[in-house]
Amino acid sequence: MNTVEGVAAIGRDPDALEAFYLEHLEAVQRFVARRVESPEDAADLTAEVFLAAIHASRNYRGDAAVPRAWLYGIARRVVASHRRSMARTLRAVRRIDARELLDDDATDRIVARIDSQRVARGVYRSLAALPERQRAVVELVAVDGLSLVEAAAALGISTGNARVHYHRARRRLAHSLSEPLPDPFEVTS
Amino acid sequence: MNAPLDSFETALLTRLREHVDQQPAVRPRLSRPRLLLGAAATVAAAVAMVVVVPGLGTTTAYSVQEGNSGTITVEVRRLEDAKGLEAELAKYGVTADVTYVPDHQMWCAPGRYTPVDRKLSGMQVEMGAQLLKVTLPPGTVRDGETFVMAVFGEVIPPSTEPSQDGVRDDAGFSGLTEFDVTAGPVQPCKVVPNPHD
Repeated sequence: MNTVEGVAAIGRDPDALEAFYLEHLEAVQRFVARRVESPEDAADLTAEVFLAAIHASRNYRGDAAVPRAWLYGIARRVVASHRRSMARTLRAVRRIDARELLDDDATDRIVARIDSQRVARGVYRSLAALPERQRAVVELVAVDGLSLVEAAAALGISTGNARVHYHRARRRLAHSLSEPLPDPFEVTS
Repeated sequence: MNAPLDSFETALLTRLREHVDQQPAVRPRLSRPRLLLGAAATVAAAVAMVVVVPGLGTTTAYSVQEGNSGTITVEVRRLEDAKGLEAELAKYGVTADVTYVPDHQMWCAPGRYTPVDRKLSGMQVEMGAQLLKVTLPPGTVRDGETFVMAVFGEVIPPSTEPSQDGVRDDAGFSGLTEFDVTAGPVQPCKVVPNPHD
């Protein structure tokens, strides 16, 4: 089973899902830790990202985004929905109550991961005033380390468009960030 | 990932495997991105989610905007005036067939149109502060094609009593949506019970 088939199968094949989960779990947990400070929220969002990927997998063709960029695009939408919605209401009907799966040791590991992402979380928060598309590109590039090509693929826009958004955002944030946004990588590493 | 899983990661993997195992073996041929927006408490928890709609009833039913890149964004806040939304989309060069069914336990009988045989990159539905947000990148709906969208759902009034876990639900929207692009005719929606409900 190649990579595309493997991702496309995660919605129907538990073994394919397990392989995908093991490959991307750490990346998803770090992605979430760059955005939230509560270990319970981090646990729930990690579960929601994989659930969203499972349900989106049947449309995965692999020609638009590599698995990591595809998953980051999904993760970004999940976290954005979480922030816009009322978490208390969502919790009432959550599909997997992930926070209920936490024990002390697991919680400590998540807290340590969240602590390690403090700087990235500060950059993430500083992007709040940007227009949505600029913010999306900068998030994936400056906070999550995707290349511009990967970020564009994750967002369904052209690389040129992503580049324009990134540089506009950099100009816009020039006076509000202690450190300027880094030069983006243009190609997939 | 090389590190061994901890108890949480192992338990989550088990739950996710169970979730995949519970998926229907053969899915019906639905439109491309199909999103379950929510379901009432009586619906299977596997698809349940409630979307809160602040200010419900105080805003226009829909809006259509076109960004600098040519991406068209549709926001639907209330399931009203489907024909008006079709007319508004036509102003942006998009032929559309919009159906609203105020019952999340129903949907349109399949086969009323033939989806185009190509990947519709970037076309997506989001949920959030607005009831429904559809993004149509440039070229998604080509000349002679029709954007088909059907939304099945209803507004849930705020709960007056806390549920079992002590959480009180605010007003929200419960339902699902189906959307795709077709190059052929679109038959009227024949409303039938949702077999997954």
